[in-house]
Amino acid sequence: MAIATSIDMLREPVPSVAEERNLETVEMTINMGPQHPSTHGVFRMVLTLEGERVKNVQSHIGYLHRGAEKLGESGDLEGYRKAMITLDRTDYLSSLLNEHAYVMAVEKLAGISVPERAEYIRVILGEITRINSHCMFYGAFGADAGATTPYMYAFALREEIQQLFEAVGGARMFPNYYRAGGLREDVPQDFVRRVQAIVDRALYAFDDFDNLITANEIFLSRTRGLGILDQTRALDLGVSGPLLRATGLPYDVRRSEPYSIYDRFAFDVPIGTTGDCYERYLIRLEEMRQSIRIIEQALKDLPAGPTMGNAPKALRPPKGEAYVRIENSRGDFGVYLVSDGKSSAPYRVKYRSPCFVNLQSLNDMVIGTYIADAVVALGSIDIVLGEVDR
Amino acid sequence: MTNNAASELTLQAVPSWMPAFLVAPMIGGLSLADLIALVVLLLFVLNFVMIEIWMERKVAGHIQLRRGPLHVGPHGSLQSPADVLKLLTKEDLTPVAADPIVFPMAPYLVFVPVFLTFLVIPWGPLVLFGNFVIRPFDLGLVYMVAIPAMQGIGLVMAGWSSGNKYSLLGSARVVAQLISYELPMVIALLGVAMMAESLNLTTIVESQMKQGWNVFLQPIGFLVFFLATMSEMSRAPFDIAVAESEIVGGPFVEYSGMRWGMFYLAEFAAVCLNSALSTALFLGGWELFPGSRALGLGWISDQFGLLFFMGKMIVLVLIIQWARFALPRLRIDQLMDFAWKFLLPAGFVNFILTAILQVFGFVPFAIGIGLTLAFAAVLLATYQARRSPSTVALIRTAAAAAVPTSQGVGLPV
Amino acid sequence: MRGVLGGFLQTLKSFLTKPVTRLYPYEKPPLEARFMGAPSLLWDDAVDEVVCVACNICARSCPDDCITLTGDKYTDGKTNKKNIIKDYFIDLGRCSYCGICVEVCPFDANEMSPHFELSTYDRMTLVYDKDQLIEIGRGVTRRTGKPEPVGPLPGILDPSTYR
Repeated sequence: MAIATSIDMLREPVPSVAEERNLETVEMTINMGPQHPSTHGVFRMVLTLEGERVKNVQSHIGYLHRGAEKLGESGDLEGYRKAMITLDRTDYLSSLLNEHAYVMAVEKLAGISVPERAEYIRVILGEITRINSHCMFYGAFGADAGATTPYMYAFALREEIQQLFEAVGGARMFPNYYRAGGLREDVPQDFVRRVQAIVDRALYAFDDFDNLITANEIFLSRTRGLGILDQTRALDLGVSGPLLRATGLPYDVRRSEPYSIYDRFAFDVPIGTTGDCYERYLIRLEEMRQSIRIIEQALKDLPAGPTMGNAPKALRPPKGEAYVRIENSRGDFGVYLVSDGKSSAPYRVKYRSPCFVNLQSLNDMVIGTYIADAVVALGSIDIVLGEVDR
Repeated sequence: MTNNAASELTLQAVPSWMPAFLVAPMIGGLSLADLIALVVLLLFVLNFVMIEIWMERKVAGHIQLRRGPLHVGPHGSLQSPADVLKLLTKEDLTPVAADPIVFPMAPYLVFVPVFLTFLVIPWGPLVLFGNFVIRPFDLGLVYMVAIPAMQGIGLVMAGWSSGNKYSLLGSARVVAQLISYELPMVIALLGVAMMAESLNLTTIVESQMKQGWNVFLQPIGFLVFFLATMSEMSRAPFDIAVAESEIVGGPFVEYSGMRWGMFYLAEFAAVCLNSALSTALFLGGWELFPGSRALGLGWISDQFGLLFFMGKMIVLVLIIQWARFALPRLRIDQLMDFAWKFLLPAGFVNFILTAILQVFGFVPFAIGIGLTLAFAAVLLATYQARRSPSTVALIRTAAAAAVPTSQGVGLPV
Repeated sequence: MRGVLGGFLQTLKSFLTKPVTRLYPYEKPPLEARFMGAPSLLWDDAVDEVVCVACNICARSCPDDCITLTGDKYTDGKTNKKNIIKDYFIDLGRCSYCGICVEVCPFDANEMSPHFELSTYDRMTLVYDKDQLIEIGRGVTRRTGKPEPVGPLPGILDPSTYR
């Protein structure tokens, strides 16, 4: 019942009936994934079970490996533009945020400046992408805990957001809209009105999200005290994003090393205290509301002007390297680019994907819990397999 | 006086207008009328299940901002027959690892007990047809507890014979769940039996018409019974046995075609069955509203009782379906805790309170109810106090607060 | 208990609200003016021939390598092109609809059409040839690289205008 007992139960192995009576038991190995409804894509866990309890977990990744980094280095023409196509498809839920990181890296490499208006639009669209991604988390996490309705609630809001992306960039999921030096084209004339409509709609939707499961006792008992990751362990593993913030460390790249124009906006970084699954969930819900705050401020200040800077038509950056980190919806996303100064494609592309790093904490969270908890804990990491495998 | 006349009318199992050859016992004591009744019942169950599935899909759709089935028939109402046709024409697969004898047998063992339990349900009267109940057993209450419990065997057989670890896990969960929830259910039924001083379901309904509905006299018993039956039939939020997000369907993983359809049929027939039982045992069966007899409106129930019974049953079915889309799933240990630490004590409390009512009368019973509520409030308050508030509270760091840099956190570059 | 009841109330509320579903095949989705469907070749109505000059830049810039084209010497003399396309294939099964081919085209010879209903039983039918690409490009005007038209908001395409 109480949270304390359940935590103790997870930490200290209780002698089972079989052990007390010296009965012979057999451990069972079950293969969860790559085709399993709650492994979020093609992730595969091999669970060693003792009854319902997980004794060991071995994760297998790579089913979605497409060589996104290597593909980003190819092409005799427009190589810097081509890399973004594959980048969009790595973390398909935070595509515009990742595009932002990439164009910032190219701008740093080539020394291109970005007009104010483009920066503001990037921030607005980036925060909307964050809401979009966290919506997906909300739906999937609810489904992992056994509630079917959150998914549909989340997708009703996502639909409106993707309609906006379609209006702005022409595509619903992979707009490929940012360019080194600014944006592909200016936003449509009714952009501000439409974003405002989404903000209004989203605030209602968040209340509905909360009413549906946030205070639900069953949901609380499923997620609280589960998958606890303490701060030292989280730092050792290199975990970032909501997982790290749930342990109580207010590390958010937007606040720690403000990039783009994030230093101009007032927003809070929600942190947790114990680092369990429920706090990760709360943090993501709160981040959505903070994103709305940022969007509202940016909409108010949105300047007029050009959206494309002094970028040359054929991009051939001087020899050098650049690393840019941003806070995407899953954590600290980094893009590392090397230019050899001759070709029109990057010499080396490397992405630091937060999902891949965050996934390392799975063993810490899952071992000793029940099989049903393994699913919830995996859901709370909020992985996107495209980004884990790249 | 009117009460007695009414009960005589409704207790009459065989209407007088029935010709003798229909009711004459044939093979195994079954008369032709019995056989016809069985066929009618089977047809009713099959059709009701189809309607129920359509209802559930519509409820699910509208709760989830969708529309549910739309294309087959008006508002998709013929979707279920279409699905049945599809299931019948589907290839019947048996996995290589499956047990060739037990595997095909299991689906029937799951459905038949559910169907058999329908025999004792007192559906109520309808104009000329008399009282619809196929076998008004004197031990009806025992029968309705014993027979559905056989369902567990079928599910274990399905889980074990599939040769799949997920289905084995699922069947292990089924056993644990069925055993745990059988107990509170029976304890809750004891109260009902004590009130009616009978195990005959028809008599129980009759007695409710005299004394008042059981749902008002023993609300705790109703709650315990309703939740326990919901768990028995593996409905959300107690659906750990099928849990799609964990063990992807439990015992049914390897089944396809109409064999899988039998499981589905059994699940929905069980929903219908348990709603019917709750109606008969706690919601006054076919009575229009509590105390209608005292107001001289008893004849409405006596003439059209079947319709009111169905109406109450459908409301209960809707509540069960609503719960599925409103709540997350419990974990297996929480499920066990719920049965043993909440439902079972609550069932005993109900049992004792009912005993007080029967032996000492209404005033001590009311005092007992008051004491129970006070005790429950204290328990709840203690529970709330023990819940550490810090895990719910989120700290929002202020804009100016010192935040670590990436070097401070130890991240690269 | 409060949370469980809240869940029930919330689902009741959403049960009573209007569904958000769009009945897709019967009710076409509203397409935005910038919607990027399949790439198409533009037709020059003034001289009644295709605009493309077979410069191969789109094929070289394509991140998916899904464009294949061959050119022919242009002899008609109606315009001052040197070459004109003989064959032009786009494998729409590989295309990622990124719009880069349109963006890099120096002659404004192509545009992303609103054509998106590509379901087929045979993968090979997704390789569109020159005629098909011209066909889906009919009625499409070059928009990329041009300023947004002033006046009424571009808004949403009429569903009856796209195939």
